[in-house]
Amino acid sequence: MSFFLRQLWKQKPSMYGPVSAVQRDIFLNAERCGIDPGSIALYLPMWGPGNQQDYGPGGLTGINSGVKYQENGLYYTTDNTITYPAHPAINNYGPGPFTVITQMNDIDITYDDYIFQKEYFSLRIISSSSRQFSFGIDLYGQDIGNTYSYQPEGSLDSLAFVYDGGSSSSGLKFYRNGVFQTPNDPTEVIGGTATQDDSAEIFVIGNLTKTFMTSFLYVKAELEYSQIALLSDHPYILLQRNPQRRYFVSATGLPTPVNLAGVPGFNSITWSWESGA
Amino acid sequence: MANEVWVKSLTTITAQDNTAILDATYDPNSASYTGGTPTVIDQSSGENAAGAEMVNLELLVTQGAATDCTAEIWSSESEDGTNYTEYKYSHTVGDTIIQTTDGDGNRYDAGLYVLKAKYTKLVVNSSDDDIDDCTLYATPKLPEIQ
Repeated sequence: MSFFLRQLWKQKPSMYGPVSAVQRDIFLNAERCGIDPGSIALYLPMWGPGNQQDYGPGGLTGINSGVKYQENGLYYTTDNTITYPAHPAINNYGPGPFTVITQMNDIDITYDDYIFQKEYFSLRIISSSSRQFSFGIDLYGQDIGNTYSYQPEGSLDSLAFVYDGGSSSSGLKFYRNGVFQTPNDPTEVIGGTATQDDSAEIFVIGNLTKTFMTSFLYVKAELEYSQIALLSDHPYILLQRNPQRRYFVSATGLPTPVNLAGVPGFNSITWSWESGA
Repeated sequence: MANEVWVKSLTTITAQDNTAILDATYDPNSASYTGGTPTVIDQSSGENAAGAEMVNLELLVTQGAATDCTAEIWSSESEDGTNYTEYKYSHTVGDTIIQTTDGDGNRYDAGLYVLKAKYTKLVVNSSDDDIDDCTLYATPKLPEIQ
């Protein structure tokens, strides 16, 4: 139980190595949460501590002027687009189901800001007025989405978007801090023409205004509500070292490892340990 | 009788002493790499890192580069102590290495390295600029039942 009691997920882990060990930890933690590790296409944790150096392949800030790592996050000072270097895991993926979970403090989001963009495919703010935002999918130039009364309050929010890959607005769900947000008008149909550059064969994040982003997770699958809630509350849970080296004393007086068994679907995740009795 | 598992720290190892200028042009796989010869971190040796699961890393910068720069940790591993893998990037030190002379004498948290091979060599790769003099320290950590 120490995994929870120590609240490790609240602490942004320092970068550690080797890379293969970190990947193994992410994979094991993902499985524990009932997430297929192979569905994780991109994960930018913005490691701590301090003013993080640029670790992205090719350098995220190096090729994107006006963006910098600061205080364990990625900081957009003005309208900036983060171009993520081409990667087969992302680029070979066309429009389809996905989940995006990002921790961000978006001080001033506006129309046409987008969370990410891929060729013919973007998740962005397709309209805004009086603090009502329409988060939509721009799919081959056609917008689908829903309008929410969302007011960024300057605090670090966990925003999660789940999309089923279809062409209906009901297929896009928005969660704020792990809580499902009901669209203002579920029957509303948002249409329109995309204004983004659909020709870019790259994956870009951003075009956000005055935003501070501390993590970004892109999963090529629809995650369940419980998984969204877990990853929203505990954004660094996937990065914790796994297995945790925790022991307790059994009835026989011998230390035994805590055994943790995860099964698909976090709802049914089970905790068990050897009693030794 | 209560048993506890403590995380025990072994004697700090000087993983790499770079008294010569660490040339940012070359990575540790280059024949022209200017870093010092690393000390082998040996999981089988009681004097060194016996049974250790990981090493906590610190980077002492005695004399920094002309400009602020970045330091990376690279590793090479072996299971027999003879045949080592090519050096591979592990991770980046999370703080900017402050330029000389402002940052001289600074000791930076260089992260954690999870030992996965019996023998490991850890070295520093400077990027952006040449670090004049730095030392990488590794303190082995192992869980021990009391």
